[in-house]
Amino acid sequence: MKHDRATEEIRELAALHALGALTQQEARGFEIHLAEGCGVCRAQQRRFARAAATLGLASEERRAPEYLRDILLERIEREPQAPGPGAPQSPGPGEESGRILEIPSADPAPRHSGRFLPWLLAAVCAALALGGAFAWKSARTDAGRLRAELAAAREGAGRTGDELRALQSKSADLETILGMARRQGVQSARLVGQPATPANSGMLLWDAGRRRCLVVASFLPAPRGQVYQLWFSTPEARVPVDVLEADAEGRIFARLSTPEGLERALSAVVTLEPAPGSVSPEGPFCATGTFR
Amino acid sequence: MAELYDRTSPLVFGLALGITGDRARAEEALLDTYTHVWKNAAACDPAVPPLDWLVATARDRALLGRRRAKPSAGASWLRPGAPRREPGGETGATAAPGEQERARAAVADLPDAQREILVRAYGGTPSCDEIAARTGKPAGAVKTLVRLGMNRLAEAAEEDEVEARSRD
Repeated sequence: MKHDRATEEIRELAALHALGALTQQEARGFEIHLAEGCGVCRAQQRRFARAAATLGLASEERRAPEYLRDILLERIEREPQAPGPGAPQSPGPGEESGRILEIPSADPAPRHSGRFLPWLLAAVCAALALGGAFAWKSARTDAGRLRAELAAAREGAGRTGDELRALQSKSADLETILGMARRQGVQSARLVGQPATPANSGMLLWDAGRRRCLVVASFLPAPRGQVYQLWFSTPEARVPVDVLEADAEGRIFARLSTPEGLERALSAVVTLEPAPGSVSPEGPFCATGTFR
Repeated sequence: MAELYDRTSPLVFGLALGITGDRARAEEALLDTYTHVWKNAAACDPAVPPLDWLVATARDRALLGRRRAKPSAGASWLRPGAPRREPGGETGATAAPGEQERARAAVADLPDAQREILVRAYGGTPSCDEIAARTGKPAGAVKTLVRLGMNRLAEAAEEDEVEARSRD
């Protein structure tokens, strides 16, 4: 049902949604309603999202440690940008809005249309000059063949580039894994799938002294609205470590910081929790591993 | 990205530190925020102002960090009337000074009861029922205060937009 005007109830719902103060069920219901195309509620949602941003903008400023800038720039060098539905329109995050930000946007999508038009015209002209239908047909065939070959070559070059980038990324990942595995005192755990998710598997390295943890795993993609979350089991409790972000195929390569003061753990556990994660494990176990 | 970071990291770090109450978590949240922005720049909704998107991302990441670490003393990210910069030093470049000052003024102008509820909700208290339990107010009153406070902030943002357009 679409609304024809904003009521107090709608405003309250949109305001609570913008603050993340709705229950999961209420939030999902509101988002489904928005997805159905209610313009009145969409306008209220945007309005209160701006109000929520006002609260964030009112924050005190604090200087971040200098080294974070270097870590960030090193990190994003290795992070590919996700393709979007198109370059953002003004004022998109990749453009200078004249007042705030400049975020690099993804390269514009390659333009294919019209690129072959000159070739086709040349082919047609050549055919006409010869004055024969056969020649015209032949030229058209040649143009088509050239176009197909060019497209295949371009596709091949694209594939090679993708493969090269993937290899470079894998090589860097491998260096990270080896670098950590060589350090003294690093513990490891082999993550093994559980009855509900037998295909899940992975490996975990933990440098307790430096509070660093590396997880390399292949999991089933998490259901919508849920995330994989890593916990360390100590004799006293299960300590939350972090959410494991997987790519679309369920591959995980995560470098995490472990909680301060956590020096010993018996095992690692991965559970499936409602996004964006839980304070204590509530979902099913998806993988476990014992530290060695 | 380096320029974006230089201009906005004091805001993002201040927000993250206030919400998590823990420097290590705030540093992680800051790195995660900019990495997310870098990776998803092309996919973001062009209808959302970029700084709003950055702040919303920072809040999400900080709340995630807050769930993993016990905050030191509740939400300290917002103290209208308190100094906005690190004592004894500049924080460097500022993301959008005019916009931030207007935001601070709008929040400072809220009635105390509305501001208290909004600060709790924005800082990560997960539901109105929980805010009600912590403040001793009925849940219905909490929801009304949220609506009234958010409405005032939305009106202030709309007035700023009209003013900015008339200046242009």
